[in-house]
Amino acid sequence: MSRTLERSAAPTQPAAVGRVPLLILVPAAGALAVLLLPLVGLFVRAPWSDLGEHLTSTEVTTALRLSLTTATVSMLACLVLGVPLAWLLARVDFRGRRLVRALVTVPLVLPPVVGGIALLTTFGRAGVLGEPMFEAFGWQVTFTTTAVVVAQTFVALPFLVLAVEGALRSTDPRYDEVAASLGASRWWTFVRVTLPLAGPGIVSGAVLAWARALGEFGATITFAGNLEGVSRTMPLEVYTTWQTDAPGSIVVSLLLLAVSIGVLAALRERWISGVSP
Amino acid sequence: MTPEAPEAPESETAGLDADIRARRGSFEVRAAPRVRPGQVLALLGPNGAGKSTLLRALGGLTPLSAGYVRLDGRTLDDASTGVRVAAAERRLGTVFQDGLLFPHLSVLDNVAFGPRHAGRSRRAARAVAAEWLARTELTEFTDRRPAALSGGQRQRVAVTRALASDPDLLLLDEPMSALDASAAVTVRRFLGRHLASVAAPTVLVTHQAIDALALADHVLVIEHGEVVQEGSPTDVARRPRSSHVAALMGLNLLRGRGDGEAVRLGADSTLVPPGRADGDVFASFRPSAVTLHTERPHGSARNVWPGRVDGIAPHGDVVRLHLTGPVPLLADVTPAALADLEVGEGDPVWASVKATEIDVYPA
Repeated sequence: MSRTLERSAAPTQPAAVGRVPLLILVPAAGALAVLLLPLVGLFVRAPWSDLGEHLTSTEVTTALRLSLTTATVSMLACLVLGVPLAWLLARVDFRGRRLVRALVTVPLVLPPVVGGIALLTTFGRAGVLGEPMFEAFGWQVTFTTTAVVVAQTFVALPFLVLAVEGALRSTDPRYDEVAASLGASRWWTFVRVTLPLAGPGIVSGAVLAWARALGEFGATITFAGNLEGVSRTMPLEVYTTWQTDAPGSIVVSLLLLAVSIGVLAALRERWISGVSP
Repeated sequence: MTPEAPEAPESETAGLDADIRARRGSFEVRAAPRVRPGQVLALLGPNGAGKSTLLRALGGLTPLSAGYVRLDGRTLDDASTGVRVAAAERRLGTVFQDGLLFPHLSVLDNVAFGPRHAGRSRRAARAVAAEWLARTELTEFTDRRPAALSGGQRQRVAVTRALASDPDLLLLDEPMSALDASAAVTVRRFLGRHLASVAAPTVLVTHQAIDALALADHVLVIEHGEVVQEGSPTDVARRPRSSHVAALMGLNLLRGRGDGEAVRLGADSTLVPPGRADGDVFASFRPSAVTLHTERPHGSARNVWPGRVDGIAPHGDVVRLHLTGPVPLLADVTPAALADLEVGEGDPVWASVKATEIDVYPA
C-alpha cells in the first residue's frame, strides 16, 4: 500500500523532501472514504436484476425527460442572461461593480429551500409581483414547468456568471483594443473576439450550470411543487419514490449519478485542455 | 462612409495635427506631433518616457487631459469641447509590440478583420486580405494560425493587417522590440519597403535609434513626458541633445559654457572646441575619437582629461571602456591597444581627444 503511494507521488515530488507524513495521509484517506463510502451502499442495494424494468417505467422516463429538458433550457437561459452580466463585470468599470458581484454570489450560498421560499413570496400567486400578474393576466407561474426553469436558473446562474467572468478576465483585454483599432464596434468585438477567446471558459461554465440545474431540488419543490410530468424532475422523483419504492428510488439515484459523472468527465477534460495552451 | 464635419481646404489640413497632454501614471506627457500624409514620424525615447501613452492618445485608447487631435481636418479629440471619436471610428491601423494577432483566426481572417468591419461582406473582405498578403509576400501563411508562425512572421502579418484596413493614420507601437535581432532586421526591412507606399501619416514609437534612422522622416525625442529634441533622423543622430539619445547613437555628449576659445565643462575642466564657441553649448564626439594614455600626454591643441576605468566590455570588434572622473566618457580602443595599455578596471588613465573630432553646437 505505502509502496504504491510512494511510487505514484514520485513524478511530482523529489525524494529529497521526504515521505508523505502520516498526519496528512490519514485524514486524506478519511476524506476519500467520506466521499466514496455512501456510494457503496447505493451500488450494493441496487436491484440489479430488474434494473431495466425500473429504468423504463413511465415515472422514470417522464422525470428523466423533464429533467433533461428543464436543465437544458435553464442552461440556455443562464447563457443568454449570464454571459452579458459576466462581460459587464469583467470589462466595464462601473460604480457598484463590487456590490453587484457580491449580490451575484448570494444564491450560491443561500440554501435552495430558502431560494424557493423567496421565489414563492415574489412570484407566487400571493407574491409581491405574482399577485398583480395573476390579477392582470389570470396566469401564475407557480406549479408549472416554467417555475422549474425559473428555480433552476436562479440557483445555476451564479455558477455560470462567476466561471465566465473568470474566463473573460484571463483573456488579454488588449485584443479588444486591437479589434477597436481595426474598426470593430464594441458589439462586434464582443461577438467576434471576446466570446471566441473565452470559449472554453464559457463551455465549462455552461456545463457547471447544467449540472447544478439537473440536481436542483429544494427551490424546485418549494416553488414548482411535485407534480408528475410538470415539475417532478429526477431529484424529486428520487425523493418521492423513496417513500413507497426504495429500490426504484435507488435506480433513479444511480441514473443521476451516471449523468453527473459523465458531466464531470467532460468538464475535467475541458479543465485540463484549458490549462495547457 | 461616415458623415464628416465640413472640412477646411485639404492642402492645409491633410495629415495628422495634434497637440496632446495625457496622463501617464504620476506624470503628464506633452507633445505636438504633426505628420504629413505619407510621412513617418518616430517617437524616440527610453522605456517609460510616455511614447506609448502618446500613441494610445492618438488611437483613442487614452483620454487627453488637454489639447486636440485632428486628422485630415477632422477632429478626433478636443479636450476643450469634449469631442472624442471612438477608436473604432478613427480609421486607424495599429501594430502593437507583440503583434496581438487574434489567436482564434487564421492569418487570412486576421488580415480580413479590418476590411470586414469597414462594411465588406466576408467574401469581399477575404479577397482584399488575400490581395494584401500577396503584396506583402505572405501568401504561403494564409491558412496558418498565429501560433504556428515565428515572431517575425507574426509581426509582418500584423503590419499587413494594419495596412489592409486602409487606415487614415498608421500607428506602430514598438513593432520590433519583442523580436530577436535577426527577426527585427527582417521586420525593419519589411516596414521600410511597405511604409514607402502608405499614403497615410505614420507614427512609429521606438526606443531603438536604428528604427528611427531607418524608417522615419522626422523624429521627436521624448524623455519624462517632454519633447527634448526634434529634427530629421540624421540631425538627431549627429547632434544629440540628451544623454539618452547620445547613448543610443553611441556618442559622447558633454555640455558646457563657451567663452570663445574654450568651453568650461565643470569646476576645473575645459574643452577646446574646433572653432569659436559662445554661450551654452553641447559637444559630441565618437568614442573611437578618444585616445587613452597611462601618463599625461604632451601636446598643445589637445583635450586631455584624467579619469578612472569604471568598466570594460567588448563592443563589436573593439573594446569599450567607461571612464569616470570630472569628464565621464566612453572610449573605444582595439583589443591590441588595450593590451599595450595594461589597464584594468579601477586604474587611472588619461583621455585625449583632438579638437577636430568634436562637434560643438548651441544648447
